[in-house]
Amino acid sequence: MTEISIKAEELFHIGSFSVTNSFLLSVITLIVLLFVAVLVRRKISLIPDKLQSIFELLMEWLLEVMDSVFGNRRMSERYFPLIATIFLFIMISNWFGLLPIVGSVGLHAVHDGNYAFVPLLRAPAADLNFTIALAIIAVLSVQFFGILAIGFFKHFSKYFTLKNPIFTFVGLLEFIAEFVKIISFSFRLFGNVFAGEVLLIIIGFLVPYGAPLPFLFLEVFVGFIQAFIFAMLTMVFVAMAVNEDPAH
Amino acid sequence: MSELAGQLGINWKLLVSQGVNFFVLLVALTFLVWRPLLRIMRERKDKIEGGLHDAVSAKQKLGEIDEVMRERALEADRQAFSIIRGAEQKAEVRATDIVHKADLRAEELRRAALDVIASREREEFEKFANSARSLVRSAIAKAIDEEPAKVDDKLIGEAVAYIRKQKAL
Repeated sequence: MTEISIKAEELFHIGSFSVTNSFLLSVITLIVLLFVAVLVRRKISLIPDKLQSIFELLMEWLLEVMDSVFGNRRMSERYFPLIATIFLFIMISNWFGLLPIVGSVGLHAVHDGNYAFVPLLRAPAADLNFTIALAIIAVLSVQFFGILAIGFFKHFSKYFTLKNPIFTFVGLLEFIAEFVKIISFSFRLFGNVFAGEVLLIIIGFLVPYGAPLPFLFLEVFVGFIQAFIFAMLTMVFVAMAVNEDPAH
Repeated sequence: MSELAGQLGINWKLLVSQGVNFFVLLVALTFLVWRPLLRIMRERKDKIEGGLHDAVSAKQKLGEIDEVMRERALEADRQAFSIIRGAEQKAEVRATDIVHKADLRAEELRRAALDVIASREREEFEKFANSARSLVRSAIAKAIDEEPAKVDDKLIGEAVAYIRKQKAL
C-alpha cells in the first residue's frame, strides 16, 4: 500500500531547492494553463470558438457572483483577475490531482529514512506549501486592494485606533484575524484535498474496482467547491477591505 | 514552531516557489485571457445594446412612417372620394346634357320624319289625284261617249276637288 504522508515527497534537488511531487504537479498545472491561455489569446474574436466560449461562460458566471457582492460590474472587473485566477488554479490543480497517473506512478526511493514508494505526482493542494502560499497571497491582496481603495491610514485605522477602548480591542482582534485567515484558508483547502486523497487511496486499497468511482465524482465536486470557497472568501474580504463604510 | 513546520512539510523555498507559480499564472492569465476577454465581452455587450437601441429607434421610425402612411392613405382616400364625387356630378350633368341633346335631336329627327311623311303623302296624294283625274276623265268620256280630250277640264277639276274633300273628311 502507498504510504500516506502529510508532507509532499521530495523527488530530486536543484541545488539546495528540493522539488516535491506536489510542486511538480503545480508546475505542470501552470504550464497547461499557460498553454490554454496562449490558445485562447491566439483565437480571440468577437465571435467566440469553443474554447473562448467556455472561458466566457466561466467569466460571466464568476462576474455575476462578484456583482452580487461588489454591487457593480466596474468593481467586479477590477478585482476579477485575482479571484478568477485563484479559482481556476485551485480547481484545475485539484482535478489534476484526481488523474489516474497521480499517486499511482512513482519510484521507490528513500523517504524520511525509509525505502518507500514515492508517487511522482501529488495534488498541489495536498501540500501545505501550496495552500499557505495562496492564503498569504490572498490576505496580502486584500490589504493591498484595501490600501489602494481607501488609503493607507484609513485602511489600517480599522486595526489600530485609539478613538475608543472597545474599538481598539476590536481592531486588535481584527488584526489577529488577518493572520488567522491565512491558517483558516490554507488548512481548509489542505484538509479537504488531503482527506480526499486519503479516502481515494483507502477505498482503492479495499475495493480496487468500481467502488472508488463514486468517490472520484465526489472529489471532482469537492475540488470545485473548495476552489469556489477559497475564491469567494477572498472576494468577500476584498469587498470588505475596499469598502469605506466601517460597518462592512 | 520550526519543528511543527518541518513535520507539516512547510518549506519557505517551496512556499515562495508556489507563490511565484501563482504570480506567473496571474500575470499571464490577466494579460492573455482575462483582460482581452473582458474587453471583447464589453465590446459585444456594447454592440448588442447598440443594436437593440437601433432596433428600437428603427421600430419607432417605422411607427412614425406607418402613421404618415396612414395619414397619406386617408388623405388619398378623401381626395379619391372627392374626385369620384366630382366625376359623378360631372357625369350626371353630362348625362343630362346628352339626354337633352338626344331628346332635341330625336325631336328634330321626328319632325324631319314627319315632314318627309307629309311630303310623301302629298306626293302620293298628287299621284293619286292625277290617276283619279285620269280615271274620272275616262269614266266621263265613256259616259258621254265622247272623246276624252273634249271633256271639260272644269268638270274634271270639280270632281277631283270633291274627291279631295271626301278624302279629307
